[in-house]
Amino acid sequence: MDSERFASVDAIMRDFAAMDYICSRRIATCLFVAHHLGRPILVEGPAGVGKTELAKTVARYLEQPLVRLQCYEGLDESKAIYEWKYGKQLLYIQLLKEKLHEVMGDAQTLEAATARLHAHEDVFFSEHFLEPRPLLKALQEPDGCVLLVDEVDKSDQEFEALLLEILSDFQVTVPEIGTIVAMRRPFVLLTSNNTREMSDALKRRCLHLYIPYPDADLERRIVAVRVPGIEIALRDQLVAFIQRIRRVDLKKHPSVSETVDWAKVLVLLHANALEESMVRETLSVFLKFEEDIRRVEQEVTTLLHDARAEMMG
Amino acid sequence: MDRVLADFIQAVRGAEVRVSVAEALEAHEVVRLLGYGDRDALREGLGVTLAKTVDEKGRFFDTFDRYFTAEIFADAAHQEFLPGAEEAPGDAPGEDATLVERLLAGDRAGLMSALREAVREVGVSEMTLFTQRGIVMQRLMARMGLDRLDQELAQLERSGQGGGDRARRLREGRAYLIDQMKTFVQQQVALYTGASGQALREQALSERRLNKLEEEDAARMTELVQRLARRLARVHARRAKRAHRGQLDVRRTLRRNMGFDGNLFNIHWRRVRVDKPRVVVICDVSRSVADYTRFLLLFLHSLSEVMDRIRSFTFCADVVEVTDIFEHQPVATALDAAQAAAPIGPTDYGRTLAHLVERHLDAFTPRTTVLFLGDARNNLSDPRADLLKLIAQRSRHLIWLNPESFVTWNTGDSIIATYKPLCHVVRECASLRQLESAVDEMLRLTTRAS
Repeated sequence: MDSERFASVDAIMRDFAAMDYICSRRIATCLFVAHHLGRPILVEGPAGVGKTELAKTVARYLEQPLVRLQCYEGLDESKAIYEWKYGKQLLYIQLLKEKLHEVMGDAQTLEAATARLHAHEDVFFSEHFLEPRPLLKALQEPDGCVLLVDEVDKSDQEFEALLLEILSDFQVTVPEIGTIVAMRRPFVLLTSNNTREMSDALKRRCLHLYIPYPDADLERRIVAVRVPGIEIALRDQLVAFIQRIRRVDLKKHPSVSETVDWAKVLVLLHANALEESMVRETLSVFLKFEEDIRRVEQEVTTLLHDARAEMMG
Repeated sequence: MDRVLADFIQAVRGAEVRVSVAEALEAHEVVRLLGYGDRDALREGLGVTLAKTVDEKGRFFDTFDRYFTAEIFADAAHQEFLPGAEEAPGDAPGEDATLVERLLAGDRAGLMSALREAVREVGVSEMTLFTQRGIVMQRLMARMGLDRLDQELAQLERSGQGGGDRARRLREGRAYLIDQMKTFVQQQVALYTGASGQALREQALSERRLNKLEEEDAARMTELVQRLARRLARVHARRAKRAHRGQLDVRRTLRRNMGFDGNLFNIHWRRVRVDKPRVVVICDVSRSVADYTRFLLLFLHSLSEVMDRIRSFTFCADVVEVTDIFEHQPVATALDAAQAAAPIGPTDYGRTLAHLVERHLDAFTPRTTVLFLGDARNNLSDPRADLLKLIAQRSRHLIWLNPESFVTWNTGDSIIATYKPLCHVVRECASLRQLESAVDEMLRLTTRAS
């Protein structure tokens, strides 16, 4: 079954398009290589170009669950890999008090009691009391899964080190239990918005995929798939306009997700073509800073004109 | 390992893309997976395996495009190879045929594979400098057996057959072969030496005095400075938090474990939060340091792009804050704007200090590092050392970077001697290398745990 999936680069592009994810040849090749070499992918790129969406689509494609770990500053192993179920441990100790008493009861000396306890001590540090967090959960999925480590650049440097074992050997080590190896290798994707450079050690273990803003052609296809009701003329104008805006010096450029949002809004407003007044009114859909909105507002006429000229040329 | 790929990786490394051994092996697997047939797929596949930053990707694809159009691997371009090839197509000479036999037989494929072999043995890909071109050519010729060919030709001349068909074909073949070798070596030079030559050049640049820079170097210098600023910021950002392993934080541990009936399940270790540097930079933009100013400002701009909490001032006759300019304007306009912002006139350190204390005293706190960039040539006015002392006392560190060469300090109207005892560090800073080490020291000082 798996041999059918990821059969070739073209097949990936076709199948992903069928699932409404238009991927470039680069993305498809990267997935192809990652699947066949069993490597994690580090996906970088500006916000909103579909990095997380890519992981979701891969999960749907493989028909495997998506295990997601959202990174943030201060994330540590107890939240990412595993934690002991303290409450359960305590409860069991309470419940088993009598039993403990029995076991220990006839021990004459403290040494003897301790020795006896030694024989049972692993009881409370077994897998029954282990609370798996996303990374461990991903390794324990019997049918494999897609593991998404989202916004890994938000985590601390130390956390990156924790990831290394998983990324290179697909295993984690719990000191009390030992090494837990993946039942089936998960397909691992890490995303980063590049707020900080990832360490070389991490990069070395991953394929590195950079997803830039799409070119006009790709973006038109994406909008067509995501907003099926849109008129072709409007779609082309809208994409040309967005492409033009990305070349203006702004605090934050609109990304694909914003293009799609805007397209949806315009369809809702029953627009057939990009009119200046309507653009002015809906700027806030795809520009997220007051400064940017003001800046674009001043230049809407020329920008629209430029975009139109580019479409023709 | 596949020789083509190994050479390619060599070329990629030459273009300053870091490729580890593990990645090289992985590239090998990618090639096995994708094959050499589909150029685009191979390009993208190797791209995700070998190049791991956006910068590297650009350089990688450049190298890829140059390398995989390098003639030796494409046979199409050799169509018109060797006059008379059509005349004797049938009996191709064997593996160990000599050059003469091959030329006479018009054995294009055999020649190309011999050339490939020669290239391999001569080690063209290990070339690092373009000046090695001549010697590589010579070795290549020797390896191809050109001396034997020449002997043969000489013999033909002597025996009076110099004008014969055999001699003509040998001569034509020889000329063509040398031509091929030249083009090929030229391509290899571009491929393998381009980047290391560039590295050498950059190294030389970073040691040159900043005022001696040529116009053409300026662009590359800009890039160097930005890279330097990024690297410094990255290295020091890591120090921001550090756990003191082995020291129990009793208070936190108790509080955390109240839920467990006071049993200490969840132990908390002491941590030290290390300060991010708060930096105030005060930069002289007067004419006496004009040659340096541009780079100091450039450096400042790059630094403020990668680090928060930098306040920048420029001064000449008087001081003005340019933090906003640096934060909101791109390099091109910001440098000029920052330079122009300072009131023109004879440099006055005394007045500058007075106004700093008067208007911006809040900028100097026990957590601030102050970076003064200037030659301390005060045009004989009052140095107001008392004010500098005040600033030094209020701040954590006061670092003075003087672009003048050490020997000229304290000559003429220089008052660096007056200021020196008040500063924590006084350094000469005239080249990029010195600037780097000074800033590195500054960041080291500031990020140390308090």
